[in-house]
Amino acid sequence: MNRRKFVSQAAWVSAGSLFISPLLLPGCSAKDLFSGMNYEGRVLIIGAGAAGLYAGYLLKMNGIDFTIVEAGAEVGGRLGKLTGFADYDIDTGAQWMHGRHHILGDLAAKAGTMLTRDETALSYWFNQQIVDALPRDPFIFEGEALPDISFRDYAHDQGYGPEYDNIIEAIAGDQGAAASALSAYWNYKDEENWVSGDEDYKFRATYFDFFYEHVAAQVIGHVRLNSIVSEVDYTSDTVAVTLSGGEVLLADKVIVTVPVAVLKLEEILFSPRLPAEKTEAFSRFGMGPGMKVFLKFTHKFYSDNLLGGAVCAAYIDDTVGKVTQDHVLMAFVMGDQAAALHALGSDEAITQALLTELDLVYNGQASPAWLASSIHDYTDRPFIRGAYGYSTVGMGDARSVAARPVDNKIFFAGEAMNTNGHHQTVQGAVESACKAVIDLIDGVAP
Amino acid sequence: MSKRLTAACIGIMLTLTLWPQGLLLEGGYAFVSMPEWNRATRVYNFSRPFLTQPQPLLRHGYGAEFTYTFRADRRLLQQVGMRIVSTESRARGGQHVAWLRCHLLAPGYGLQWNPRAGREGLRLSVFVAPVLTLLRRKLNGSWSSEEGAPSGATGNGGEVRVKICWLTALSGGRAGISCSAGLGPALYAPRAEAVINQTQRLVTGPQTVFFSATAGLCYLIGPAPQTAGR
Ligand SMILES: Cc1cc2nc3c(=O)[nH]c(=O)nc-3n(C[C@H](O)[C@H](O)[C@H](O)COP(=O)(O)OP(=O)(O)OC[C@H]3O[C@@H](n4cnc5c(N)ncnc54)[C@H](O)[C@@H]3O)c2cc1C
Repeated sequence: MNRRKFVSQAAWVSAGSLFISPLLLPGCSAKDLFSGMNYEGRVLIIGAGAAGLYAGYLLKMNGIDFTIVEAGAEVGGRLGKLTGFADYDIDTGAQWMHGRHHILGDLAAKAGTMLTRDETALSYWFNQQIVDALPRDPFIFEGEALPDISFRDYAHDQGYGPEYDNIIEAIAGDQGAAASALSAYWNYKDEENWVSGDEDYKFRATYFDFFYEHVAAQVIGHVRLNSIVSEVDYTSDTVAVTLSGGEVLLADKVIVTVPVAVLKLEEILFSPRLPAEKTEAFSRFGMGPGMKVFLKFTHKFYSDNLLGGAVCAAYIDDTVGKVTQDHVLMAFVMGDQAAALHALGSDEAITQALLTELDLVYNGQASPAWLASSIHDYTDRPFIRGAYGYSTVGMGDARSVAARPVDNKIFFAGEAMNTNGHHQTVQGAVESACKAVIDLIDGVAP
Repeated sequence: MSKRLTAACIGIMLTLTLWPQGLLLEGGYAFVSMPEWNRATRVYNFSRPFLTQPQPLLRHGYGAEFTYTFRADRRLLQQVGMRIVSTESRARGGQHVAWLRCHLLAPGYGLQWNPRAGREGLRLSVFVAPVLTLLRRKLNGSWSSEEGAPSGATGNGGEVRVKICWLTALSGGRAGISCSAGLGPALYAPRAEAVINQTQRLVTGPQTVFFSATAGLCYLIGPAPQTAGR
């Protein structure tokens, strides 16, 4: 073989090795995600919260025919805004962007959205006084060794006395739960997968506006408001979705994004019934009372963040990150405390209970400075039925079982169905929507 | 213990210098493909339709390799080598810029078949190597870890690689072209999805098969041939 011949042969061999080998790899020859996807079926999305709207946005960007049916009179679900209460717009649902290393963080960066990092310090109402630090660190709910018992029981087991109860309540409240109901172990197992970053950000405008402008507005023409889904029949190839008025909508695939509490309460009937393991998984979720109360005052006499109240475990200055002359304190009430306030039965009674506690904490300054209140109670809000889904004692793999598609026809999304540690957040709802759409497309890919 | 170790090191060095060995330097284009990482990247792009420039798959980059050959005058030779590959990709959307970088390090052991038992012509090598990878992400100019999000994911695995090298005389040494293709049955990088797609265990498993290929130039440094060659 002469040199020239050899060089040309070597070149062919090397070129061949470069291009043939990838074809032998299973991951490369398997259905190539999304490429060549030409789905011509019709998709129906139930719920126009963050998950439903983002699922629609993805379908639209991929040219897939879809409709979103929403029970309420507005889109957004647990994203909402209050105008006119103060000189800035207030988020009545989700407010902080938790971390910015996720889809919505990227979207905010792309859009140049004004965000402020919330760096306010914590203070505590502890043994009847305001302190900046506690004798013992109450943030103890991390580690593989945690038992599957409630936050409250675990804190008591670790020697935290009753003086810490309301602080622990505040920590559990952040997860939308009562300390007596949230599993130390399963909550940690969920949070272990958190990769969004540790910082909290607030929108100069509102989370609602941001989501509306960049996501909801893209799909608003596909949304049917005031359309309550009462039944989903997936017996045949085409899924029949019945609205409360009797109208039947047909679709090839359905993405269900309603809150897990709605599924638990079986407000939507599935025919045939969903597999038992699935309904059992829904029942293991916690999703309980929760409310946000905005209290407007003449001036600021309160700390930026105060944890440990007996009526409300977390008081937060709502104006941080906003351009405002007003003074608005937000009472973030979850779990047993929210149930107690809800039971008072009127906005006046709720306001009075909170002002009484604030007067105690701030030496009688609250009531004289109070101007107005606005109460946003999710406890028994129609079509929501609670704050957000949390992991109860004995939760196990309920989250992943609940999120699994049924018959390659019914797909589940929504914050509670997020299996990658970002549940209870807007970005988690959005990620679950991506997963549902990917599963849907994977299922129909050639 | 340390005396024995020193004696062993001296022994090895003597052997290496007494034998007609060679040092092969290579550099050029590198291609890598990790199917699970590719899936995570596709999901990243799919779930962010707002990107004006989607994240390209982490496939193309450059590589360099140093291979030390014992007894360069034999037909069947033993080699040890170190391979470094670096790939990079960038996604954009308005003010959002996401960089991904992957570095791969493979210190390998190989057998080379040298049909002419000399320093020129065709050589065919088979390498086995443990593989270490480091995947990094920079978002809008800052490493994600600055805010507690994972900025890096390490991976480890192993590969088998076949390399063809053709050398000819060039002033003071031997130069030529080389190309290689490697297959790794498993690269364990459980945090890779977190770095690529900002999610953990949503769309990929913790490990992936992987393929790599290189093509480039090589240069052999070593003493003059003794048993064969020109
Ligand atoms: C008080 C509060 C504060 C929060 N703060 C934050 C925060 O700061 N940051 C953060 O990231 N997250 C926060 N969250 C959580 C966040 O709001 C949710 O995770 C997210 O908005 C949930 O979106 P989703 O699409 O899963 O559900 P939803 O927004 O609840 O959407 C579900 C939709 O389904 C509709 N629906 C229900 N039943 C039917 C039916 N039968 N037929 C048709 N439609 C139906 C509902 O009307 C609703 O619009 C907060 C939540 C609450 C309650």
